[in-house]
Amino acid sequence: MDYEVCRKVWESHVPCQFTLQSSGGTHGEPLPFYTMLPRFSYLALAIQKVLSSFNRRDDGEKVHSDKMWLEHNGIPLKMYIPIGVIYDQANLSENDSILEIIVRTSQPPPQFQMVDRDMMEAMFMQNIKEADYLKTKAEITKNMMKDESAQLWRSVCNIPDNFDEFWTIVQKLMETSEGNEFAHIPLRVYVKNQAFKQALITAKHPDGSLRTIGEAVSDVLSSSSSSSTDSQSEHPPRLISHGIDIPHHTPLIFAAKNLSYPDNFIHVVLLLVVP
Amino acid sequence: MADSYRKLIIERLEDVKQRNKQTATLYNNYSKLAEQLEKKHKYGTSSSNSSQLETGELARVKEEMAELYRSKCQNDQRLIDANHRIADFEKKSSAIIAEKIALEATAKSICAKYAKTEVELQRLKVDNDQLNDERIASNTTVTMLTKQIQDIENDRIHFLNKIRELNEQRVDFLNAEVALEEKRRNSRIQDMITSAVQDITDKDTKLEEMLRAMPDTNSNGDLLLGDSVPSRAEFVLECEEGEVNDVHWLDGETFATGGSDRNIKIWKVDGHGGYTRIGTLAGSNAAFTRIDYERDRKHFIASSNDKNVRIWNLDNSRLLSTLSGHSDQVTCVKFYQSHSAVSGSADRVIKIWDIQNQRCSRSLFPASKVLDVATNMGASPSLFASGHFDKKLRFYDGRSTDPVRTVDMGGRITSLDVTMSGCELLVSTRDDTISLIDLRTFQTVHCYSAENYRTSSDLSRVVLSSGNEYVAAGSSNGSIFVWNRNSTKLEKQLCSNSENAIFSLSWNPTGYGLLSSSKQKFVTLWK
Repeated sequence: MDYEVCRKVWESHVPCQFTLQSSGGTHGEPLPFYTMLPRFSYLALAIQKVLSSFNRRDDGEKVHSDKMWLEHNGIPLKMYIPIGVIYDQANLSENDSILEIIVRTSQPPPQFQMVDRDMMEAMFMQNIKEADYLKTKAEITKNMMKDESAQLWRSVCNIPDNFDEFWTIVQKLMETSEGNEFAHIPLRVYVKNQAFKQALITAKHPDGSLRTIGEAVSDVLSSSSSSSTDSQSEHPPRLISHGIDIPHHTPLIFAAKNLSYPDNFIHVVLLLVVP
Repeated sequence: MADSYRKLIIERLEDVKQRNKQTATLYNNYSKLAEQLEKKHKYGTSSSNSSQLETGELARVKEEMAELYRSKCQNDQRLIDANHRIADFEKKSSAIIAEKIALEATAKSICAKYAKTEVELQRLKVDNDQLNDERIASNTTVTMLTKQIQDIENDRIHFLNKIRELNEQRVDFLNAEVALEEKRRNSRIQDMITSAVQDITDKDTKLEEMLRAMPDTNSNGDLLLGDSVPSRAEFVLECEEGEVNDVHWLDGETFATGGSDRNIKIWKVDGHGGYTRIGTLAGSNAAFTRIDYERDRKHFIASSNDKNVRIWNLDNSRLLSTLSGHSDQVTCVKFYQSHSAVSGSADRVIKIWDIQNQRCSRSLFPASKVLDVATNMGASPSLFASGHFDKKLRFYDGRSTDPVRTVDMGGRITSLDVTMSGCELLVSTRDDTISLIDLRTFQTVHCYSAENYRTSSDLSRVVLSSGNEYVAAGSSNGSIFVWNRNSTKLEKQLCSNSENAIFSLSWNPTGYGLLSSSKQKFVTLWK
């Protein structure tokens, strides 16, 4: 594993603005809440601090975490997706813009799913196990101690303070027993206005050569739908992850070990190039 | 080629970081400001306006302090001046006080002298008065003592004369006393001589009369001088307590009494009208009712209201036996045959006692209260008679339980007595009559009564004289009646001082002397 790359990725933050928009409107709106959020974190973990800030004012009604929903550009946000992925999907990297999130207290839309801290932890651990199953048939997670799982989750909740704890655990997850390679690579591809795409992708081609991330993304897209054919005919798309363009020739195994999010998945946002 | 993608990735990550740096700094500063604001809001600190107010107030306080300092200086100076004045005044005051003290001392000394002089003057006056009083008192005393001397001298002379007179009287009295003593001694000797002569005369007269009669002896072997009708009381003996229910001659000189005092007393009489108590038989818890005596063995028997019959030996006054069995008062008892006794009781039972074995050998049930029994019948030794409350006279043979004969009388039978021959029975009844019954024919042969005769009680006794010449009975008015047995003529009526009923009579075995016992303590010997 590459310590430098992992460390830089770990320390990445994105600027966010939370604005409360209540249905009443009789009282003055509170000032927006500004904060830098780590890319590896989740909105489900950050929302509590935001609501405390809004509820600190003397007037106005209280905002409860179970009676609000989040919106960005008219689209309800998924609180269980890493914040970095949400930022990449908003295509804000080039302009260095702020991720503007509106906190609404009206009836949430059907597609919005409220996730609290305990649910978030459960979903996180489930993703860890799924990724490990793809890689090693869940061999590593089966042998993990209970306190190691807790240690991993605790470090994710306290970014950027607990990198050493995170580094210790993530090394175990990224190492295999002697002589064995990852069976498959956990990879999720996000296309605009669609759910993420996921397929069984091996680290190497049948001929033994290393598969690149560009090839992997093409394979995922080709196996999922036929609309990708049109895109292939034009310019190659940009692969956005951690706020940067990932070179197409990067080996998939390198990306898996150094550019994965804490849940051990590679989250890639596919950005089509406009000619 | 292998390192190109890594390098490129690092470069791009660093580039993104640099572009975010400005925004990150801005955001961090914003967070810090928000935190500080929150802290201020939490701890309630003042705002800038408050600070301005504080500045103004501070200036005002400083001015006030300056003014206070000036006031303080002035006050300090004033205090110092006041202290100086106080010191000065104290100095003057001390001087004045010292002078005052000196003057007071002088005044005090003068007053002391004056007081001392006054005291001395008063003392001298008192002494003068006292001496004057003493002088007057001395004069008075001298006058009085002079007078007393004169009086005492006169008294001395008077007393000397009186002493002389008293000495003469003493001599006269002594002579008179000697004469009186001699006269009294002569008078006593003369009285004794006169009394002795008179007694002898009276007794000798009676003896001569008796000696003229035929000499005889009674059944007991006593010399029978002949029955003599008593004419007067020889003496009156007083027992301690209550009724004397029975009296009985033991021999010519000795008799016994028994009654409410619960004691049998043995008395001895001398020939000169005196008596002495020589013994007491005790053991009963209630009054004694009847007495009997067996001379041959010196056995003494008595019945008592404590339901018992007791037998004593008179030789040593020892209680031989207590015969128990009756359930009510034992009213009468008599010695019977050789070694037996017969007792009658208020429980309507007649018991025959075996004296040697101290037990009851037979019980008879006449169904009526037994008032008296009589033994020593001449017809048959085993025959005895009993007198009853139901006015019946029953004759029993000791061998059977049914009476062999029953005789109806005119009243309750109070007493029975058998003649020496054993052929006649004297019966006293409460119809104030006395009957003499022939035991061979069971017919009444004589009847005795008198105008004033009244049977005293259910237990009052009637006796025959020792020679069977007379019949004697006591009356309820305290008199004793004596009848001639054969002629039924009233020979004598003896009157006592009191009117207490006569309960019992006993004729002396010699025929000379009749004992009577009374309802109130008294036993009288008649001769």
